[in-house]
Formats: sequence, C-alpha cells, structure tokens
Amino acid sequence: MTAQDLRRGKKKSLAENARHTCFSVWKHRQIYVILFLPVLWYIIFAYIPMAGLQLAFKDYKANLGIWGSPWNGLENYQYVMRDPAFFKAIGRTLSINLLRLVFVFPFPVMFAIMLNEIRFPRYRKFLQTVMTFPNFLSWVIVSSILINILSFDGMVNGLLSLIGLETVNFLGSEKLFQPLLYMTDVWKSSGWNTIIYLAAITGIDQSQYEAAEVDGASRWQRIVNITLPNLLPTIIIMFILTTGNLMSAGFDQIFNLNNSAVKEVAETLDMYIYRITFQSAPDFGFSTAVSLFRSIVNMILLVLADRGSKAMGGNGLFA
Amino acid sequence: MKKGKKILSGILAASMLMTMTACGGDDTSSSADTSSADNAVQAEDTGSDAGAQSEDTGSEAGTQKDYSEKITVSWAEVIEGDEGIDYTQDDVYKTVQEKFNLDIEVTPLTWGNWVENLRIWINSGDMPDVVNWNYVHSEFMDYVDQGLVRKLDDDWKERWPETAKLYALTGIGEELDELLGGTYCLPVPIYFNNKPAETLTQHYQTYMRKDWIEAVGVEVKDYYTYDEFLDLARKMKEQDPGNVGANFYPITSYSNMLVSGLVYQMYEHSSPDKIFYKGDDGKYRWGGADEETYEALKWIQDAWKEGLIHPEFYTLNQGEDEDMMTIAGTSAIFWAGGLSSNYSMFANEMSQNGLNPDESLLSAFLVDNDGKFHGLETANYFGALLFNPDMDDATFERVMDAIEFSCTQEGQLLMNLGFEGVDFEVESDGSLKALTEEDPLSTYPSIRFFQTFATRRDDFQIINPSTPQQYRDKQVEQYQDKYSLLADDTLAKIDWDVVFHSSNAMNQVQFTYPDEYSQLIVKDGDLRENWQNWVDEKMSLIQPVLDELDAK
Amino acid sequence: MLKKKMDWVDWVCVIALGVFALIIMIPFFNVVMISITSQKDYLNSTFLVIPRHPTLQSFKRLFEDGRIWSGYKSTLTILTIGMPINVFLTYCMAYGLSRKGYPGRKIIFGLVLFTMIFQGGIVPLYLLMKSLNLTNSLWSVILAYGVNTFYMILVKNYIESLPDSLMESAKLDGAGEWMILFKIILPLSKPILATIVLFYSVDRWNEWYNSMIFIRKQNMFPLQLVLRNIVINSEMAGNVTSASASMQGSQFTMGLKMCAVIMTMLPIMCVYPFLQKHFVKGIMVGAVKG
Repeated sequence: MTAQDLRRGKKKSLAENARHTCFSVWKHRQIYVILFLPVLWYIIFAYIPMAGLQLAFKDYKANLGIWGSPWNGLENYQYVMRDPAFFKAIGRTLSINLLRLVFVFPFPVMFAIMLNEIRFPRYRKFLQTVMTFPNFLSWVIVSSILINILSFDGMVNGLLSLIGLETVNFLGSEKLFQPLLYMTDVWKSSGWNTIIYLAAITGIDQSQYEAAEVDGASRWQRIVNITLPNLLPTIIIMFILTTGNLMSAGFDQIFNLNNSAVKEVAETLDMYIYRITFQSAPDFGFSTAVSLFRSIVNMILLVLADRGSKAMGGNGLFA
Repeated sequence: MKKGKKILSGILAASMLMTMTACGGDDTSSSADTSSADNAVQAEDTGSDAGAQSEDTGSEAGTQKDYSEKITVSWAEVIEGDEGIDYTQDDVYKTVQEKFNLDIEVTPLTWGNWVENLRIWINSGDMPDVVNWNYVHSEFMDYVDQGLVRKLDDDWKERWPETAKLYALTGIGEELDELLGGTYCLPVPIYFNNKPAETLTQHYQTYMRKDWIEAVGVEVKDYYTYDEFLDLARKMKEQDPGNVGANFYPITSYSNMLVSGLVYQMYEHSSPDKIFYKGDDGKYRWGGADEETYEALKWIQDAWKEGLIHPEFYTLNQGEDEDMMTIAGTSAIFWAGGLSSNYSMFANEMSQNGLNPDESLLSAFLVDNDGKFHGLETANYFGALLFNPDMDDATFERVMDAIEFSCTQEGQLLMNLGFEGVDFEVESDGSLKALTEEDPLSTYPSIRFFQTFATRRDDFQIINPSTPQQYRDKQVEQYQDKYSLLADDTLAKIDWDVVFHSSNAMNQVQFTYPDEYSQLIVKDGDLRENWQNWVDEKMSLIQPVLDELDAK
Repeated sequence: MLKKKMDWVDWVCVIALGVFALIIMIPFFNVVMISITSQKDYLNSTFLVIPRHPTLQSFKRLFEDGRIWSGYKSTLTILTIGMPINVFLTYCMAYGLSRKGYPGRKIIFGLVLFTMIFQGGIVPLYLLMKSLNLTNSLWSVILAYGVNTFYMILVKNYIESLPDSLMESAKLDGAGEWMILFKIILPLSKPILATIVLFYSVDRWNEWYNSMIFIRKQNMFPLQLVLRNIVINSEMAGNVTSASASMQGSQFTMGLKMCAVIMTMLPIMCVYPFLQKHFVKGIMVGAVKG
C-alpha cells in the first residue's frame, strides 16, 4: 500500500467514526430529549455563573463586569499567602472534617440498620419520626437551645453537680468545641440521613434473607452478611461525596455554634472566606481566590477517594 | 427666527401651567406655578437655541418644586424592630408622600444582613435608588472609582442648604470633598441641632443597680475610677445584696459591650477605631501590641477569674445581659448605649418587675485612677446615603427635596413625633410637649423609617418629649462630663490619614476585635504569653499597613 | 411476627434508639416550654424550663407581626412550584445518565460533577438573575436551585441498581426509551422518588439565603428568612458611634424565637408522617420478615 492509500484509509475510518457517532446519536435521540431540560438548567444556572471564577485572578470592578475586569495575575494569592490565619484554617478544616468522617459518618448507617431491625412497626415509626425532626431546626435555633442546656447553670451541669461531679465548661472550651460539633451533628442530622440508607435497604432482594433464614443464619449474621454488603454501594457513594466536601462542610453549623471564646478553633476555611468577604473590607477577587483554592483541594480529594474506592473493589463515582 | 422661539416658549410655559393646575391644589404646587412661569419668561429672554431652551426650562422647573409628576423611589435602610409593618398607611407617610408627590418603596434591612445585601447589590450594579449604607472607606473609594454611586451636582450645597449644613457637621463630609473633589455620599449625622458636647466621645454607659450599690455601702456617683469600680463589684459579689445566690455575677455584659466598656475604655488605642495611631516619634503604631492593651486585658481576666464577671459572657447575646438585670434581677452591671430612650426602656422594664427605677437604676461611666476619662473622638456620622447613578435627575432632585425637608426643624418634628397640635405642641420656651400618652412609633409606624431617613435619631432623642426629661438630661450630661474629664493625652483624636487609608493590606487587618480580645481573656494559660503570641501572629499582616501609613 | 422471643439484637436496637429519641425530645420539650413561658420565669429558671405562669404572649406577638403569614404564602409558592421542577429535572437527569452506550454520557456526567465542586459565587449568580430580569421575583429563588447533584447521583444509583434483565427484555419487545422510562423504571422508583420529594421539600422549606439576596420586597420573603430576621435582628452587634443604632426593643426574644421555631416546624411536622408512609411502606416490604 502506498502512503496515500494509508491516508485515505485513515480518512475513511474517521469519516466512518463520525457517521457512526451520528448514527448512535440519532439512535439515542430520546435520551437526549430527556436530558435536554436538566442540561439546559446546568448550563444556565451553573455554568454561566462559573465565569465568576476568573475573578480569582482579577481585580473585580463592577462597572467593567466580570469579563472586563483587569487581570492581576497571582496578586490575590500573594495576599492570601501572607495571612497565617489562612493556613491555620486549612489545617483546621481538614482535621475537623476528617474526624467528622470518623465520628459522625457511621451513625446514620448504624441507625438505619437498627431501625430496620426493630420489629414493632408503631415503635419504629415513632422513632423514625422523632429522629428526623431535629433536621427541621435551623442551626440558629439549635445553637440557642444548646446554650440553654449546656451553660454553667444549664441542665447538663445541673445534673452533673446533682450527682456530685464537677461541672464542665462546655461552651467556652477550645478543647471541647470540636467534640461538640460532632455531637450536635449526630443529634441533628443522623436521623435524617438514615432515610437514604433506609431507601437503599428497601431495595434489597427479599429472597436473600429468606435463603439465609433457611440456612439457619442468626439475625446478627444476616445483618453482617446481607444487609451491610447490600448497603455498601450507597455507603461508598456517600463516603466519596463526603470526602469531596472535606474542605467545606459544616459552615452553617460552625457559624452559629461558635462564640468569641472559641473563635480561633472555629475558624475553618469557610468561616475564613466569610470573614474576608463580608466582615472586613470587601474584595471579591480575594475571596474568589480562596474559594477556588478550596474547590481545587476538594476536587483532588474527591478523585482520590474515588480512585481509592475503585482500588478496593468498589464501584466509584464515575462508573 | 426670534419670533418662532418666542412662540415656542410661550407654548411651553402655557403647557406647564396647564399640567400644574391640573394636579395642583395645595400651596406648594401653586407657588411652583408662578415661579416656573417666571422661569419660562426668563428663559425666553436669555435663551439661545430652541432645543436647549426647552431642556433648560424643564430642569429649572424641577428645582422650582414642580411636583406634578408622580415619582417612585426605592429606598433601603435598616429599620429597628421592623415587624412586617406597612409603612405607607399612616398619616406621617402620607404627608410626606403628598408633599413631594413621592412614593417610597422601602426595602427594610436588618443589622444582620445590611452589609452583605448592600455589598452584593452595589457590586452587581443593581442598587436601590437610595441606600443607607454602612460607611467603609476603602469600599467607598472603590465605588467612586467605578462610578457605582452618583456624584451630587457641584451646586448641591446651594440648592439644599439645610442638608449641606448637616453635611458640614458630620466632620467627614468636608474631608471627603477635599479628597475626591466632589460629593458622592451623604454621611448620616448623629448630632446636629442638639449636639451635647463640643467633642463627641464614646456614648456607651455602665448601667447599674443603684440600690445594691447603696446596700454595699458605696457612694452613688456619675462616674467611678477603675479601682472604685472593682471594689464595688467585689463588695457586691461578697455581700450579694439581692440574695441571688451562688450564681451571682455582678458584671454581666455580652462580649462586644464588655470589651467596649472595659478594654477600649481603659486604653483608647485598643479600639479598632483608633488602633492605628501616630506615636510620639511620628511613626505609626498598632495599639494591639501596646502594653496598655495587655494591662486592660489582664484587669478583666483577673476580675473574670475572681467571679466578678459572668463566667460565660461570650455566649450572651445583645439584650440578654440587660434582661438579667432589669427583668430577672440576677445581675447588677451591664453596658449599653447612652441614649435617653435606652435609659427609659430599662427603667420601664424595671418598674414592670416591681422595682422603682429612680431608686434602683444608675447610669454611670468609668474614668482612670487619676480621674481622667479616656475618650475616643467619634466622628459625627454613622453610615451614609448613597444614590444610584442611574436614577434620573428628576427623581434625584425629588429625593433631595425630601431629604432637605427631613433636615429642617419642621421635618424633624413630623418625622419623629407626628403632628403639631395633635401629638405635640411647642411651648413658649421652645421646648416640646407631648399631647398623647401614646408612643408615636405605634401611632405612626412609618416613623421607624423616617427617623433614620437622612439623620440618626440620637439628636432628636434629646428633645423628644415622649422620653422623660431626666433621662434626656442624663444623655446630655454624660457627654458633657466625659468631655470635661478628658485630658490632652487621654483623647484619641480622629486621624483622617488612617480613616482614609485604603489598600489591600488595610483590608486584610479588619479583625473583629471584640472577639479577639474576648478570646484572649478566656484562653487557658498565661495571658502575657498568649497575648504575645497573638501580637506576633498579627504582626505579619499589621506591619505592611504600618509601613504604608509611614510612607504617606 | 411478635411470636419470636426478643433476642439481644432487639434489646440493643430498642434501647439505644429509645435513648437517642429521648435525647432529641428533651430539647424539643424545652422549645415548647420556653414559647409559653414569661420572660421572668425563663430568666429565673435553671435546669428545666417549667412555666410557672404559662402565657401565650409570645405567640400573640408573633401573630401580630404580619410577616409570618406572608412568609407562609411565599414558602408555599416556592415549594409547590419549585419542588416538582426539582424532582422532574433531577429524575430526567438521573435517568438519562443511568442509561449507557450513547455518545457524550461521560462528558455530561463529568461536567455535572464539576458543578458540585466549583461554583461561581453569589455575585455572578446575581448578575445572571438580573440579566434574566428575575430579581425581585420568586422565580429567581425557584430557578436558582434546580438540580441537587448529590440527590441526582442517589437517584441515578438507585435506577442503576434495578435489575438489568427487566430493561433488556423490554428492549427485546421493541420498547422505546419512553416506554422503558414510564412503564418499567418509573413505577419501580417510588421509594427513591418519595425520598427526593421529601428532601427537596425540606430544602425548599428551609431555604433563605437566595431570597435574602434576590428579593427586596418584604411581603415576598419566605418563612425562613422571616424567622431569621426575627431571630438575628435581635442579635446585632453594638455600635460604637451612634447609640440609637445599637438600640433594641424590649421584648422577650427567646420566647419569640421559640414561637417562630414552632410555627415554622409545625406544618412540616404535620405533613411528614404522610410522606413518611411512602417509604415506611417500602421499608415494610423490604423489612426482614421475622
């Protein structure tokens, strides 16, 4: 074959590919129709505003708009890097959220399995209803209830001194602030998050349980051998998504629970961004720079978690 | 040609008259009739080109109070205790509406969201026509640079003289004119007709249980030295005159006010307002690193550890501290704004809970152990009005007319009290007398909006007859006492170089000082060490600012 | 079902969850008590708040405040228009992405995931709403929140977990995409649909930030923003310069707060059991048959 022939062959296969794609698109046209509206929404309301990310490298001038504002290179980042509070905030955010993964993440799974095991339908319904209620309270309210209960003369300390124990300074202690975050998080949202797992449990094929019962498996064995493995894909997805959010989770909570005594240990990256955007003088370029940094770290973590779960034989997010 | 012009302006004047009589009826519009007709005649004499002339006549007529065209303006400001009230129903609003043929669409903001909302709206080029905005200088310079706020016409001071008079009293106004070569905002004045002292200093006062002070054998005074104050708190703690029990902590204030009332009070350069200042050597310094700041923090920490200050003051919200003294009777000392209406509100609460405020409420302040008051010179404005640059001239002028009215005595009376003869009367000595028991705020809800229309209401509080005379006197006295107890070296003056310094580095050092200080007070370990670490950490951001200031 | 003896698994579940429920209910009890307590009683109480002189004063004050009613109206509007849009968009997206073998699927999914992590920020979003002429209209709030990618992934996963054999046999019968969607997948998706209906409803109910920025007319504020204004308004920082700016009305803010909490929670608490029925039914079906 001559070189020309080869080229022609390649050309032909390219053209064929294109034709093939066109054909495939046409074949699946109904899917595109279904996807059309949500994709349109993403384009308009998620991607158009994303142009704002370029402000991380710009000096925002409202009169010139996002596109017209002058570039200033890495100047915004130079200012960010000068602030020791920024680096502290990164470390703090990671440590808080990693421990959250350890102390908070397992609870909904546990609760979902336990709820599923409860054999009194009325009691189960009652529990489920009660457990989901705290989620309807905003953090502002949770915080004022918490102050009421945990203050030096509040309910908990009242109980402690009643049984002869020393009272504890819950609210102003830098050491106790993080545990308090985990506890309130469990209190408020773990009941709610069981819903996802309960929905997954409903999808489990009943014949598996029946077969296990025939084999004489105990309830504990059935939980470990059937329920948990079937929940695993959901758990992994939740885990990956939580990991991808490690740099940003929990702003509303921390914003409302912190007080001036624990301000320092409460300044996560989100709190830092909020502070520089709205409390000190404004600079949207500066705060976008920090947000972009946060997003990039989040993305790296998400990809890592995804790879990790695939390496361990899981499905991963991008299945 | 000349004849044509004459005819044209004749028609113009006639049509102007027509529209005016069509909707006129009250005094203002009929007086506007004649003057605009005069104008048209004048324009006819001096006019050169027909087109320009008709434009001239139009705008001239506008300044001559032509209110024939109804104008709607959107207006955003923080309104105290807004309870979903419709501001457009009562007679005060209607009077203003009719007077200027102006509909005001109020966007009420809260202290919790005004900074955030206005910042986003202005930065998106979508601000309401008028906003009452938290003045932040670097932000303001940014807005002016970008043309996001309206420049007032150069002759505005002649056209709205009352407004200009108040503008001059804010102190910052003229400084800004000099800096920018024009006016881009109207700072909202705090005191104008009834300024209580020559130099305004911090207003906050210590409110205390007078009967308990007497019960522990301490003299009742208008001001106490730090030592006297500590002694007083200590005696109260020991003797517990109110039989509160083990959980009695005499000083109960939320952290913002505790820090204002003690730290800023003891050392003026610890206050964020005056924290950058020129030292004796002519170089700029940062007050946070000064030994005096440490000493003030130490004083408070010791008192806190001794149990004289509420153990969890940092969890209190504004108002909770006050309630504990005036309603629950479980604390004895707190700080709050030194305003007659505050005083009377606390007094009311006490009397509703079975205490006689004359016997049991004292408003005082602190001086140092040499008897000197440490003052922060306070600029006479809080917030500023900004105008949307896209607003048309007619709207702007109408708004300015309304603002001008609010700056006059007549406007102040209407916008704070209601109507003469119905709600109040002016006595022969010029003082005011309330004619009803009813609070004007509940009779005319729109007063909540109007009382911060273009001025703060601190000023009117001093003559407001719906507040008892003794509390109003107190408001004046405390400013005067503070002023008289100032020494040269205990007054931190306003340094416009610092106020007007805007840079990225400056933006980065806008810390929330009440939080920073509270945290140092409460933190475990040695205070000196903690404070030193804190200073060292902040210095990396502070030093560039000091360098910039020195370079100026 | 109850014939079997309680084994240790039962005991652990019953007791552990019971304790947890108790821990949840005590603060709720507090909320209710504070809402009917007078301020003086509240301030003098330690331990548990027990109203010595029960009063409905705080509720009265809340109802006199007209905002709560217009808040209900706006929130219901946002909920009844917004939530179906959310569910529709989410389900379409999830279904589309759960199907395989068409060009562009990976790219679309990648781009969707990207939005989970990268957002433009509030100013660009505001500029967009302004250019669409949506500011000061409830549509801005409704449209700003369309698809929650997180929920979308849950739905997608759920659909993918359905047995492939169903779809394959349908395809063999010559069913098109629409047939598969409406006749096979949708009927099987009830539990997950009930879940996201609930999730979106609660999100819509609790939403406030977008309305705070996009909406200026007070009578259009949703309930949560009203609640927030009531709660936060009483917590403003003291001001150094103008005494009048740091003043605050004399009112029992804690009681008012708690009343507002009850009033915002009550409707959703009433509706919840009905929605819950759907997946409780699902759970019943799926539960271990003792």
